[in-house]
Amino acid sequence: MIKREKAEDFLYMEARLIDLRNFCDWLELFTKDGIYWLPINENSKPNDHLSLIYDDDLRRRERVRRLALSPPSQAPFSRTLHVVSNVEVVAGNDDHDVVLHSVQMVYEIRGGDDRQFELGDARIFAARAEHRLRLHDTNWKIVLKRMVLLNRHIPIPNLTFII
Amino acid sequence: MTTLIEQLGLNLEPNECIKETKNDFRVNGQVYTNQLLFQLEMDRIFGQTWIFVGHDSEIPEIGDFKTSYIGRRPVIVTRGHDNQIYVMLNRCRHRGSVLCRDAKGNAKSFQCIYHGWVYDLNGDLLGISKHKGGYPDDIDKSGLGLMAVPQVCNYRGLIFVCMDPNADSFLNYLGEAKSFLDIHLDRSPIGKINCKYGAHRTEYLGNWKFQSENAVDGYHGDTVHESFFKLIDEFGNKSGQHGAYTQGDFKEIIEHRTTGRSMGFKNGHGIWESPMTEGAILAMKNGPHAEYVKELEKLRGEKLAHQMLNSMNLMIFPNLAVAHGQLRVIRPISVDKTEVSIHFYDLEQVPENYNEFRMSGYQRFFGPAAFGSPDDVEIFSINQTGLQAEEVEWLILSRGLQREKLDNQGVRTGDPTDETPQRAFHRAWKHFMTNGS
Repeated sequence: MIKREKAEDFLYMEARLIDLRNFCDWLELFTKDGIYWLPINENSKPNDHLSLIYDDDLRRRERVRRLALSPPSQAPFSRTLHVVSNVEVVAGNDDHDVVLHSVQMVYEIRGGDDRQFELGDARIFAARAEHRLRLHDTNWKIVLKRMVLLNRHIPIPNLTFII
Repeated sequence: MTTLIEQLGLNLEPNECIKETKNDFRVNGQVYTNQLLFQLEMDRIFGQTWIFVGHDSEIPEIGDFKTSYIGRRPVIVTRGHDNQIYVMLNRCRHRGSVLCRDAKGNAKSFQCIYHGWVYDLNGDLLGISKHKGGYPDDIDKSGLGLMAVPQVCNYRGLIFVCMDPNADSFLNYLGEAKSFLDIHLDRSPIGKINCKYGAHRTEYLGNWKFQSENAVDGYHGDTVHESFFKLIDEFGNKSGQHGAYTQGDFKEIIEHRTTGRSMGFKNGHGIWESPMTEGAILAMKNGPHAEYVKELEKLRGEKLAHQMLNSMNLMIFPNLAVAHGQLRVIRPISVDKTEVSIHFYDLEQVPENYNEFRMSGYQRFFGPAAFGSPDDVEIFSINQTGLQAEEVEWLILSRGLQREKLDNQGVRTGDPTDETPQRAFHRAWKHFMTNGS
């Protein structure tokens, strides 16, 4: 098991990597078979219902690469701030496997000429997060990061940043 | 009697909004920004043409319902006790409340939460609460059911409705575009699709017509989707093949985008089509989905089967695009706000791994967090922002006008990057907005 303090440190570190746009290091937090998943219907399997995001290693690398290519939906790019709270450590299978639950509030805002449509609006994404971690040598790595957004059923204009 | 245009106080008549000469085609910016024109559209476009409201696989069981919209009119789509599809205005006949506040579900009847009037699945008024003494005992309930949408057509599972009881039938309205809708549906060996995966929903701060135009626009890809092409170039199609871009590298994709065609039909429908290369067909025939290709060739004949593997986007005027294995539904909210919901569908009776392969490719490009469609949506908001500079007045939609071919069925064909489908859309827009005058 992992102490809650350690679990919090891990989640804070992940949030900081995203918010500081250190995406290459963020990618390295995942195991090779790790999944980054934002379901729409949280009770369905990823093959039975569309997901907002269902990234394996390759798709995740594509996602990070695309941000560097400045596509229209990320030019100007999104800045984010993650607030991580309500952290709970749920027993895993053994000492090398643990499940963390947390609540995350993600603030997102784009810059540029902020009076233009879609720019300058601060958006809040609230989510219940689940992290499944596995111990690799002395480092915890993400096997599954699953974020269940509160607004997953309603229209979302732009979710092309890392959340 | 004053006309609706006079009542609205429009200073720009719809017939002045589209300007066409032999070599020029222009659309007035107010078509996308004017509140009064938007109001007129809700009456003349969404009140007179065939509107897509859902697919019957979304309501498979008796008592299943979903809500939808005809422009801004809220409607309920139900499967009645007789297994028929009913589409009714979602408005209690008593004092106007919506009857149904859930997006979907299963019900035995619908009860108004205001005063408790109860309606059957087909809209019949079943009961008035505290009837006795309040209304005549023999009040004629038969005239007080939910207002039925005058025309409903279930075409191979796609439910289209029309508010105009005198409008031409759906198949006449669809006209020459029908065979292109059939191509999409006939990709299933039994000709059936199933919208069982839910939907990706997005919205943008721009006019609804931007999405209708763009669904069949072959001109924007090189710029708007450049990042996607670069991903294919660097990572290949291993993480999911998006049907429109089966080629391996950036140069091939750009070259391939100039092959194919665009078409515009009467009543505003249009297509953009990009055929698979011989190499891509060969790869499909020898790849993990060989079994599916073989069966399709057997059922439909080689030529049609290969056309079915093509990337072909169909826009059915005014609010449905059928493309890349999806039903894309466009819902105007206001003159500068639009919802788009994308229903990726299952092809029935194909090998399971083929639907999984399709879904993986779909999710690489489509959805609010994907690598393609969010860039389109961004453009629609960019357009709306730019149009606030009203003095420029006209948008230019003349690309390829001089090389467009017109056949005796009224079908126009252009190059794949031409604005042929968009012009067809706006000709129909003008036709319906002026009541055909």
